[in-house]
Amino acid sequence: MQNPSLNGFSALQREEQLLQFFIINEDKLKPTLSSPAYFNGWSWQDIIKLMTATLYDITNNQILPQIESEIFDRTNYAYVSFMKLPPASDQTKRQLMAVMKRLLSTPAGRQSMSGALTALQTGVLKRYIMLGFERQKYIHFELTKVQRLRMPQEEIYNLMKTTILIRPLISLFAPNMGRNGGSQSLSPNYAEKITKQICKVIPALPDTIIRAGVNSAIAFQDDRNLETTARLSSIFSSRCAQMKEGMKIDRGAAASDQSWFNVARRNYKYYGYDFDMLTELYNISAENGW
Amino acid sequence: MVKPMKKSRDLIENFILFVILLVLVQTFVEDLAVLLGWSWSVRKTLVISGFGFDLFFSIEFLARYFSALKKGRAKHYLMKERGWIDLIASLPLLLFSSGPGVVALLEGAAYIKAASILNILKVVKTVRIARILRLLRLLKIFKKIKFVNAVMAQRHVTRIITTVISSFVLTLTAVSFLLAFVDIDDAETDFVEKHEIMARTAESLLDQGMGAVISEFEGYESVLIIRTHEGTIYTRHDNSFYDRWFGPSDYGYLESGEVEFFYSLKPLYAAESRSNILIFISIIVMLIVLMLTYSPHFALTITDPINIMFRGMSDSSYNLEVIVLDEFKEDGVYKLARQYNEEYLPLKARSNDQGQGGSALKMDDFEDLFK
Repeated sequence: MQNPSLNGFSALQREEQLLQFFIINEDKLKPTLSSPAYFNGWSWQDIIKLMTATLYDITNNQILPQIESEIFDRTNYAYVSFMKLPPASDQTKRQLMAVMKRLLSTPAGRQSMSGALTALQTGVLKRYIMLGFERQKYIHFELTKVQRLRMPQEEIYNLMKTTILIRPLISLFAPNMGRNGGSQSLSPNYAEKITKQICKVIPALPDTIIRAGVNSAIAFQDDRNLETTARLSSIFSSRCAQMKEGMKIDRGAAASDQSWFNVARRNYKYYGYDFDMLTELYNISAENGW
Repeated sequence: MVKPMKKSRDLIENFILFVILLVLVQTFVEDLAVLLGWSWSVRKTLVISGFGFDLFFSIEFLARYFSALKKGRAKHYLMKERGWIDLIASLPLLLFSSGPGVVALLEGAAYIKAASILNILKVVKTVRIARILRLLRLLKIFKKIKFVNAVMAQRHVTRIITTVISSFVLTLTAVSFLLAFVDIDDAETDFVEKHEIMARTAESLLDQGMGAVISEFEGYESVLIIRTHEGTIYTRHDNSFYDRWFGPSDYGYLESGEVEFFYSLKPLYAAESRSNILIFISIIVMLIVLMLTYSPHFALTITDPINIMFRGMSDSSYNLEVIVLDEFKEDGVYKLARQYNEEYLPLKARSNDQGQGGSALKMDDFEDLFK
């Protein structure tokens, strides 16, 4: 986990890289790891099982306190009252935390959690939401006029935090979904079914908020009325799942976010992103050298 | 056993680089000494040290050449390892410049005599021009300086600089050498003819019994001594002054009847030194300018985009785009970079997303595991 090649990756990304490494290099690793010096005579499946369980434990020790802190201490749920919805209680937080733990017990859940957690931990989501709001262009218009979120930008950010945490829960009910949605977008009907199922496990959280999180897996081309928070959540989950913090920008290369948003603009149909939103995010990153 | 040999080879190579640096300083100071009219003892020391350096580099070249010859790599050494620079910046200088100069000093060669003075001056001029070849050694130092963090950039910039500077120096040397033998009325001819007229005038004045008028030559600073069979009738300085400031080759000598006429050749040498210093500084400036302007340009337009594309193709987690500069967008490298940005990276993103991107980890990262 401390290998220098994994510098800049989050705990979940490191775990994923290691597991990927084991799978790719099975032929080379198997003879060594099955030798008397390591797991004498064990089958490859048993070795992988043990490795995976150990890795999960190591990663969980790091990320569970982070998730707990995000849910219980660092997120203000006051946005619910601005949306004229029943106020969030401690029960909401506990239900959310419980479902997160359940999510982390599955490989697909862990993969899909990576982007959301990185977006919150690194502050990437916050800086783009704040700037997007201040610029008063497309993102601001979509948030305030289209989705009609009449609340301060800080509350919008808190709403985004919850939305982006809901998104990975889709994998609990749609196991075949790609890590970040990808080309395997949900159909609006299927998304609605998943929303209902998630509502059952987090009944204390208003379904409007859960719906936006689940709708982030619907391609924008399939539903032009998609919530702005869903569209943003979709982009930032994907962006942060592939993010490598502190990446050295080589001379002559575009900055990390700028490169990612530009590549995403070329793949927008494939991933079902909102092209105009990507363009504004690209402009923000280019203006700020991110 | 290999390591101490490499260490001693490095030590020798570093010593040679240090000597190259010294010879460049020596070449500059030797010309400066002539230009500023430093004392003969200093200039003599510089001439001898120049010979020492040329001898050293001639031996170095022969050692390298025969060592390469023994290994069957003589052509490779001469062509690929810039042995040709070692050659033209050593043996020709030893044989035609500093060597004859030191021989003349050892023989105590007297002043340049009247009859063939113009031809001799032309040879002297040619010999001085040949000294410019020493500047080619700059390229050897330059070769060792790692000024760009990319092997390809370093090689290309070194080649450009070697081509520009060597062609400049070689052309200058060759053309100057050829022009020295073209019969034209140049400054040297004019200078010598002027003194021939003065010698004849002195003879005529003495024939007419107007010896006192000889003192009028005081106004011509190059006129040093006028002598007849009766002895010295005019001298600008006393003997101790001549001993201190003039060497044998600094005197021009003319005979006109009974008159012996000595004049200073220093103004001609100073003009040559001025040209040499100008060339020396021009080459240094050219080298610095090429290093400071061309190297970053090469890195910016060639190595940087290639490096980014290479990383993007070999590291699954590297997804930075190449910034395509508008002014170079039609360059092949940037056309390729556009393809990389617009086609390769989006496809790579999709492939990574489908779990086909591999891992950032390589087997080498776990070498301890297999020990």
